[in-house]
Formats: sequence, structure tokens, C-alpha cells
Amino acid sequence: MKHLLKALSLTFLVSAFLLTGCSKADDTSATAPSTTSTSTSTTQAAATPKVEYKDELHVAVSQEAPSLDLHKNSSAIAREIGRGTIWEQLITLDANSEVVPELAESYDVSDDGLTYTFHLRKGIKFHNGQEMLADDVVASMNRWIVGFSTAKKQVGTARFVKVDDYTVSITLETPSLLFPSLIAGATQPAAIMPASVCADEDSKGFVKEYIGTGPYKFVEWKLNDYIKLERNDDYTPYGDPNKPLDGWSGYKHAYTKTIYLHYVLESTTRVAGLQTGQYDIEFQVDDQAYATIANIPNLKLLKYKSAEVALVFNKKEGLAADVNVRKAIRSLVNAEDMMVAHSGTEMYALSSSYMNEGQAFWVSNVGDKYYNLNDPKLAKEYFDKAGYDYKTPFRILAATINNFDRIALVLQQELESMGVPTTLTLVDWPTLTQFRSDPTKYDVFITSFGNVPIPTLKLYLGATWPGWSADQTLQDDMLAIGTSKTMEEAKAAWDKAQLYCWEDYVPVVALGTQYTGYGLSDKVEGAQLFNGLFYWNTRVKK
Amino acid sequence: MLKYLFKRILATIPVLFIVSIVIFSIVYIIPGDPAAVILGENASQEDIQALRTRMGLDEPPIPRYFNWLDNILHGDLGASTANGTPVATMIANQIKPTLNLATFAMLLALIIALPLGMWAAYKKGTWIDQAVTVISLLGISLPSFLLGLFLIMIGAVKLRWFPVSGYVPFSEGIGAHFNALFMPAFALGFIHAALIMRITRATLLEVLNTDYIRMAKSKGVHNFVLVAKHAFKNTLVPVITIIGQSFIIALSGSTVIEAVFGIPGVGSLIVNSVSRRDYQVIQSVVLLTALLNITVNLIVDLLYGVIDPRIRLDR
Repeated sequence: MKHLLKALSLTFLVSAFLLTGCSKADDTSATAPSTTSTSTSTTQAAATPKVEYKDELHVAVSQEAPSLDLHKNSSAIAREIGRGTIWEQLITLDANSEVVPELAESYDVSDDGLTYTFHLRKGIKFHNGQEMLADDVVASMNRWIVGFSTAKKQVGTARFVKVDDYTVSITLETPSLLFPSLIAGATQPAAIMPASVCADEDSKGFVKEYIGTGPYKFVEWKLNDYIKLERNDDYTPYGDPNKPLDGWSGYKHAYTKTIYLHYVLESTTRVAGLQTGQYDIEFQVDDQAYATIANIPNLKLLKYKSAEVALVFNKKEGLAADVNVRKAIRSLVNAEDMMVAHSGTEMYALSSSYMNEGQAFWVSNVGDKYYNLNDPKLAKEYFDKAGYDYKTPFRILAATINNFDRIALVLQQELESMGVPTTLTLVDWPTLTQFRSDPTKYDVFITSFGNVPIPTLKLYLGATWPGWSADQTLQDDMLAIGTSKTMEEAKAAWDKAQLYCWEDYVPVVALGTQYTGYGLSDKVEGAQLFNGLFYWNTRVKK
Repeated sequence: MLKYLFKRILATIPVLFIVSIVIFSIVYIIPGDPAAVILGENASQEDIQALRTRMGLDEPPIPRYFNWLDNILHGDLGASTANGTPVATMIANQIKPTLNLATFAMLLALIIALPLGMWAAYKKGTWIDQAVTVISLLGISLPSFLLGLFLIMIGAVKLRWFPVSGYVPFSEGIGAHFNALFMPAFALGFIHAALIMRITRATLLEVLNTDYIRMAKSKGVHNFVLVAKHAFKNTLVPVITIIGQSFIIALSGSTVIEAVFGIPGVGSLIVNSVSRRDYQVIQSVVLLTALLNITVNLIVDLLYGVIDPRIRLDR
């Protein structure tokens, strides 16, 4: 009866509203913003005996992962759900993006830089109760190498081998200073799972069970609805329990018993759910929701620099195969206009660096001289130098997700204002992933690239990735980064490669860095922000 | 009647066959590679190609179609190309929220539309008639997603009476079930209420001008009995037709409302499947939707005979 009364009352209210056409502004909008903008970790709240916490954490996410098999899938949402939560790695990254041990007690490198030996922690249990041993690590790491094309390219035919039950090693064909960073920060995480799980794949080659060693166990995935995780009471934490998490490493308390990740497609609904307390955290807040949340007093915001937005040229064929055309576009674009169109006013930072502050060591400003020039006159000089006829349309390809289409419209306007005809192809994401692999379909496509721990993982600098940066000088420079003897030498090689890109080769035009935002109830404590939001030590006040 | 039923069921076979060809062709033609979507940004062309082969996507379209059709005829809808879950299981899990939502939406639509439509006809030309016309115009012109968002702001955020989103199964409590379903059902049903209201009013006006109603009036039959009993019965054929059509539209058009309210129904399933190019799921859901449409139309046709004895279906 109570529900019926509510329903009837709401019907009446809505009817009255519709009839009178009245509108009432949200009365919370006058309050001051409670924005917390940071790219570092939030502090863990000290436990006070009087405060009571909920057993459940409800997170609203905007998309479903295609799969949680992290070895074979690189979606950001899968990483944020699984990395460090269900699965842990041999080594991981601290807040400075430096490599630190996780499931390994330690690791060492041979004098020739070829052999890496990992000494495993003892007594670590998988969620199925089985102890983690070298066989499991070997099976997991080798499956990861095969599934992750960047790792496969880096190690060639080298594979992990068991030394004893608690030691594994790999001998590379050539020294690779950055190999540990590749393992620790890969966009397809090097998750450790039981050997039996690795071997039991479905017909498409994905694992059938999600079993790791992390502080939370996978319980249920109700498609198009939610994923449920439950605390792993047999978890063996590492680090100092009195210290906050450091990047992805440190002591994981797993305060909350159950975590639900609800799939909610509509942004307004996610924000409303946050407002009413139905959800505690909202993943991936867009620019409009960011502004809304900032004006609601019991909510807070977190954001971090998550990706680099770029125009990627087709260097194989078409107009952009001519470097002068690429230089013309580089000279023409107004990066700020494009970033505002893409991210709104609060969710971007201008930067010429291909790597952002998330990987502080690798940040390089050598391209500043060529960045955000917005100089149509110079652009015309380059177009003329290329012998461009101002008749052949410049083909722009973009997906209609994440506001890439808005960047495409700005680029179209800038080009047409200087007499360059354009054709604009706006498609959904699956179509874009197909079209961008076809060099006959576009001159430039627009996308963003998530943070990577080392520059050699930058997809658009690869010779075979769409856009095809198959330039010998660039490839030699990139090789020099990987084979450097010291980090300083590697950084110098990266500076050289990036300057070459901005100055001479122009494989892409980097537009700036986009933030990823998260909305949180002010009752949420201990959310860890480092290349994603992690909730190993998160709890929600009652 | 049985002969008619048999004929109609027989007639659905070529319809479903044509639908299956159309949907298979559309899915085959639209660009987008499920293997690339599954493997993500880092995948090499070799890895994508290997997965395509494993998924059978390299096979020519005609054998693929007949293979799919053969499996369907044997009751096997296949497995999701994205996650390997049997399509039948996915549909079974997700059709319940959609059916419940559409049914509840239609019930709400009828509760609003029939009395208001009758009242407006009876009070033709008065302010009541005008108010009902305004409501029905609003219902037709207001996009359901906008109404949905508005309901969330009022019913969930301001009043805190209803949850913002999500679906509560019937098994977890009748009250909680309807509480969670009310706002989405209202948002989905309002447009249909408007349509039914208009048809009810227009048809009833026609009937109220007929001789037998005038005769009943002159005999002193009470106005309520006159409208509710004698006149309304004769408006039912067109009203039932529009109700049937509305139910079909509510079933197949719940996608937007399901997205707004986070309901894990068939609409969400199809949206996700399209974004993942999950061919098996898309094909099966569309085929099932066609089958549902045919079934509802058949039920409506059978009801004609029940409502109006002059209609003989087996002739």
C-alpha cells in the first residue's frame, strides 16, 4: 500500500508538473563546490572506534569489460576491476611509477642484463586455497607474454622457467633495462593465476575462471547488471599496515566485505545514484557530470591525468603520407580549442609531452616549440611545400565516443577555414577499430592513449600499429631506449626520439592530457587514485 | 477458430525466415570486428586474425547463415561471441525484466488512459476534455528518456521514494519489485497512455452519437452505465488494436528506458551486443523480438472475435 501511495503521488506530481509546465532549479546548486582535485593518493582515514562502516561498497561504472581475462584484454575498466584487486603481479608500481615487489619477495638481474630472477613470497594462497608456486607463476607469465603483443615483441622467444618452487627466471635475447617496468605497469596486466586456470581456456582462448591471489575474490558477473567481489579472508598482505598505499603497492586492508560494480550506462543516472547514496563511487565522470557533482555538497571529486589525446596520421598512404602535410596540420591546430571541445574546461591539461606526470621521469618538453602553434600561415606554407591542390579532401576519422567527434569537428572547421576541403567519417568504436587498420580509409584518426609506464609502450610509435610509424630513424631511436644501460641514457634517447617526432617525422599531433574523474560520496574513505581508482582500503561510513 | 490459428502459425514461418535473412545480412554488412573489440588496443593484427579464425568469422556468409539457422531449428541459439555464455541463457536472464517492465508500463498506461479518455469523450468541449487533450499531446511529444530523467530527479533525488536505478526481481519482494519498476514503467508507458487516450476518446465520441445510445439515453439509462457498459464495449476493437501495438512498441522500444534506469533487460543486452559486435546475441534477440511481435498480433486478432461476435476469424 505504501508503494502504491508513493506511485500515485508521483503520478499526480508529474501530471501537475507537466500540465503547469513549471520548472524548479536544483536547490543544491547554490552551495560551494567540494572538489578534491588530485593525481596522488587520498589519505587513508585513521580508524576511529566510534565510526561504523558499511559492509558493502557500490560502484557505478559506465561500461562493461569485454572480459576480465587481463592477459588478453587491455580495456581500462577490466584493469580497474581486476588489477591488484582479484589478481596481483610479481612486481608492481609505486606512486613514482618505480618498480617494487608484490608477489615476489625480490628480484635480481644478472651482470649481463639478460637474466631476471624473481624470488617468490612463500605461503601466498590463491582464492581456491592452493598455494602459489613457481609452476603457477611460470604458466601465468608465459601466458601473459603470448597474450600481450608488446611483451611478446620485447622478449622474442624467451620464456619464464622454474628454478625451484619459489624462484622463477627469464633470460632475454638482448638486455632490456625496462623489462621490469613492462611487467609492473603493462596495459594488459601480468596477473598471476593458478597454472590449472591458465591451461583451462574456452574456445576463444580466454580463461574460464577468475582466480587470483588478491584481497578480493570474484563471485559473480551478472551480465549487463553487476560484478560482485567478496573479501578474500585468506589474503596475505605485504607492506606496513600503518602506512598508506604507495601507488599500487602497500598494505591492503580490504576493509569492505563486498564490492558491487554496477553497470549504469546513463551518466545522469549515475550522478543521481551518487546523490541519493545508492552508489558510493562513480567511475569515469564526464565533463558535464563533473560540473554537476562539484556543486553537490555531500559529494567529492577525484581526477588524474589518464590519457594523451592525439591526432594520428596515416603515414602509409593518402595526403598525410607526405610529411609536409603532417607538419601543416601540426602548425594549424589549436590544441586548447580541441581539448576544451573534448574534455570541457575542467578535465584537461595542455602539454606537448607524449608521457604525462603519471610517469614523471619520462616527461619531456622538447616538443614545446612545435606545440599548439595555431598558425594558419605556417600551415599554408607546408601545404604549398607538399604541392597540395586544395581540392583533394582531407579525410578525418573519429569515433562518436568520448567526445572524439567534437575534436573532429574543430579540426574540420580549422582546415576548411583555410580552404582545405574535408570529409568527416564519424563511426562507433568497433567500426573505428576496423577502419583505422585500413590505410585507404583515412588521413587522420582521433583517439586517446592511456598511461603507460615506459615510452616504448606508446602504441602510435609502433611500425605496425594503425598510422604505421614505420620510420627507420624513429624505430632505431625507440630501440635505443630499450637497450640503454642506465635510466639517464634511456631518458636522453627518449628526448631525442620525441624531438625527432615533433620536429621532423610528425607521426601524431599530441593535443594534451585528459583527466579521468571519479565522483565519491563524502562518506567514502581510503580510495586509492593511481592510474585508476582502486578500493583495496576503501570503506564507507554508515 | 483452430483452423484460423493453425493458418496464422503457419504464416509466421516465412515471416521469421525473411527476418532471419535480413538480420543476418545487416549484421554481416555492418563494419566492426568483434575480435578486435575483445582483444583491445594492444592486440596485434596476427592475434586478431587468430581469434577471428577461432570464432569462425572467416567463414563465408552463406554457410555461416545456414549453420546458424540449422542450430536455431535444433533449439541451439549459440553462444555469445564476446564471453561464451549461451545466448539462450542470456536471453532467459534478461527477458524477464523487459517483459515485467513492458507489462507494468501498459498497465499504468491503461489505468491512466481509459478513464481519462472516456471522461474526455463524455465531457466533450469542457475544460476536462481540453486538459486530457493537453496531457495526451504532452505524452506524445515528450521523449521518454527526458521524462525518465525528470522522474529520477523528482522521485529518487528529491523525494527519495524510489531507487534511482536497477531492477529488483519479483522473488526479492513484491513491494521492492514494483517500487523499483514504477518510474521506468511510467516513463515508458506515458506515451502509450497518450495514444490510447486519444483513440478511446475519438472512438467513444463516435459511439456516443449512434442511435442505440440515444435510445438508451431517452430510456433514462444512467450516464455512467451508458458510457461504461453500453458505449465502451463498442470502442474496444480499435482500442485493443492500439493496446497491442503499444505493447509491441513497449517491448522492443524499452532500450532507452532500460539504459536510463539501469535495467538489465533485453534492451541493454542488445545495446551492449551491438557495441561488442556480438553477432550471435544480436541475431537471436532480433529474431525473438520478431516472434514476440507476431505472437502479440495473433493474440490481438483472436481477441477481436471474443470482443465482437460479428467478427468470424475462421472465414
